Amino acid sequence: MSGRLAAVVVANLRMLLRNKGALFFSLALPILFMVIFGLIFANAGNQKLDVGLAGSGPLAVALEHTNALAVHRLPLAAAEQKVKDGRYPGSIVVKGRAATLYYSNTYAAQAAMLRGVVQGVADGVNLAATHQPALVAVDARSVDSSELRYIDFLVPGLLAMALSQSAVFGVAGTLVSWRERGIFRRLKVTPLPIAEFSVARVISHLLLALVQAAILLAVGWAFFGVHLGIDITALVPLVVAGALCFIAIGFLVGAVSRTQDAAAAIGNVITLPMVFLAGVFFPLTTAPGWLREVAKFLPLTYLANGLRDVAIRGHAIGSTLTDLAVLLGVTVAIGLISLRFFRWEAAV
Amino acid sequence: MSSAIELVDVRKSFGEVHAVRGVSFEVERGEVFGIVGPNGAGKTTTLEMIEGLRESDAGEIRILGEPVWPHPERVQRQIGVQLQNSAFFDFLSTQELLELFARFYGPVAPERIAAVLETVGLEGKARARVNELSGGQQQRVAIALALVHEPELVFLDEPTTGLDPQARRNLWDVVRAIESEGRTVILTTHYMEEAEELCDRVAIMDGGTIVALDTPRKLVHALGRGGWIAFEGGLDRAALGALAGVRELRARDGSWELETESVKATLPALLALAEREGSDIGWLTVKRSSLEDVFLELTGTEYRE
Repeated sequence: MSGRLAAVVVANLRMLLRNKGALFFSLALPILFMVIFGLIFANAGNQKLDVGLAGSGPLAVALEHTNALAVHRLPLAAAEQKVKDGRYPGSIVVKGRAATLYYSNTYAAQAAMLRGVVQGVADGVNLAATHQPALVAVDARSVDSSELRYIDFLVPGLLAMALSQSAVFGVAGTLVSWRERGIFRRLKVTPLPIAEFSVARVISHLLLALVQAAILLAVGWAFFGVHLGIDITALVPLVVAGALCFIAIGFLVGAVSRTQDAAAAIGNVITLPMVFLAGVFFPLTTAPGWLREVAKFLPLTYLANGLRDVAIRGHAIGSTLTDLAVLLGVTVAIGLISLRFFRWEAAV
Repeated sequence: MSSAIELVDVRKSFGEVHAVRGVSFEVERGEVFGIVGPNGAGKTTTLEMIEGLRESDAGEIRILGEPVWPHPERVQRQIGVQLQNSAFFDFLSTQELLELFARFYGPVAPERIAAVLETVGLEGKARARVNELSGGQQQRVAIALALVHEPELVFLDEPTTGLDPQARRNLWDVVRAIESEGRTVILTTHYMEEAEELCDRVAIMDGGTIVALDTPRKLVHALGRGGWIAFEGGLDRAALGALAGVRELRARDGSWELETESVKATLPALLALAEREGSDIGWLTVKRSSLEDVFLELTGTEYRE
C-alpha cells in the first residue's frame, strides 16, 4: 500500500471510529439485542417444567427424581386449584395406583410435554414393577458437534445484521452528505484521484467490519458463552465479502438519494425487512415455504448462514463458497447498477 | 516567464445557457486578481474551468504556461483552491485535516502545517475539531487547506461572504499575507470595497463576458466621475447647479448631495458661494467614486437572482 493510500485510510478510519452515532448502530445495538434475546431465551432447551405434586407412592418418588421436572409439593386439596389459578402448567395427584394429571391449555406447549413426561415416568415405574429388562433403550443426542443453543444461532445472525447496517447506512449517508456539501468537489481540485480516495474509504469500512466481527463474537463468547469454532481463514473472507456486498448496496442507496433523510428511509426499507426475512433472530425452518423462497434472494441470508457455519460450526472456507459467490456476485451487480445513477456533485 | 494564468477566448454553455461567452485575460505572477460580477455573470463557471472542475467548450486555459485540459491533475499540484461554501470531513481536527490534504500532494512536513496555521492565524486551534470552530475560523481553515502544499496560485471564491466585519478584516490580512509570500491570488467577492482594498487588478464580468479589466484606481478614473460632496447649508438650488463641475444635485433631509466631475473644481466654488451668501455650512464630507459605482454603472442596478 502506498504511503498516500495508507494515510487516507487512516484518516477515514478516524472519521468512522469517532462517529459515535454510527458506532451505536454498528456495535452497541447488536450487543443490546444479544442481551435482550439472550435473557429471554437463556434457558430455552434445558428448562425444567414446573409441576405441582400431591400424594405418595412409587410414582410420586419417581416423578420427584425426574430431571425434566421441577416438582412443587402441594396439599391434595390445592392441586387442581393451583393449575386453575395459573400457578403451574400442571399438577399431579397420586392416590395409590391411580394418578391424575391436571393441566391447563393456556400453557399448551408445556401441557403437551408434561403429559409425555408423566406418561413416560409412569411407564418406567410399571416396567420396573414387572422386573423385566427393557426391550428398547432410547439415547437422545444432539446432532450438533456440541450442545448448540439459541444464542449460538443468534450471535452470528446479529453480526450479519450489524455488518449490513453499518455498511449500508455508513456508505449511503456519507455519500449524500459529502456530495451535498461539496466535499467531493473539493477533492477533485486536488491531484488525488477520486478513485483512490474511494478505494481508501472502502478499505477503512472493511477494517471496521473486521473489528465489528471480532468485538461482537468476543462479547458473545465472553458474556453469553457462545460456542466459537472459528476458522479465521474462512471468517475473514466471509466478513469482507459480506461487507463489500452491503457497501455496494449503500453506494446504490446513496447514488439514488438526494437528501440524507431519503437515504436513511431507503436504507431502512432495504435492511429492516431483510433482517427478519433472512432469519437473523429466528430460524426460518417453521416459516411458510414462500418466505423461505424469498430468503434465498436476500444476500443477508447467505451472510448470516455463512457466519453460522464458520464462526459456530467451525467449517472451513470450502463450505462457504456458495455464500461467498452470492455475496460477491451481488456486489458486482449492484455496483454496476449504481454507476448508472452515481454523481459526484449535487444537481444544480 | 509565462503568466500565472492565461485564458484565450474561453466558452462554456449548459444546454441553451451560454454561461461564459468568449473570455480572455491574463493574470500576472504575484498579483492579487479580482473577479467580480453579479450572480449568474459566469464567475464561478470561469473559475471552475481554470481549477479543472469543468472542461471548456472552446478556447485555451493555461496555468503557468501548462494547458489545464485534458490533464487537470498536472496543474492542480500548483494551485490551491478554497471553494464557496467550504465543507470539511467531519470528526477530524484542524491539524489532521491539514495533514490529510497535504498528503494528497506528497510527504508531509510538520513545520509546513505549523507555518500554514500561523499564516491563517489558527495556531491555537490545531487540535480543535473543525466543526466546532466559528464561521470565520472555518473559512480560515478552508484557506489553510488551499495553502498547505505551497501552491503558486491560490483561488479564493467569496472567502468573506457571511462573515462579520471583524472576521472580514481579519481575512483581508490573511490575503495580504499570502500575497507577501509571493503567491498569485485569484479572488472573487461581492464586496467592492474588498476588491478595491485587496486587488491589484479587477475583472468585472457580466453576461458571460468581461466588461472591464484594470486596476481599481483606473477603473474608477475611467468612470469619469469625480466624486460626491455632501453638506448641510441653506443654499439655492439654481446657484448650486451652476457651480463648476456639478453634474447632479439632490436634496436630502435639509442637506445637499452634489455629484461632481471634479472635486478640485467644485469644492472651492461651493465654499466661495457659501461665503458670498453668508450661509453657514454645518458639516461637509467629500467622497470619491468607488469601484461599487463602476460596478453598478457597468452591470446595471437591476436586481438579479
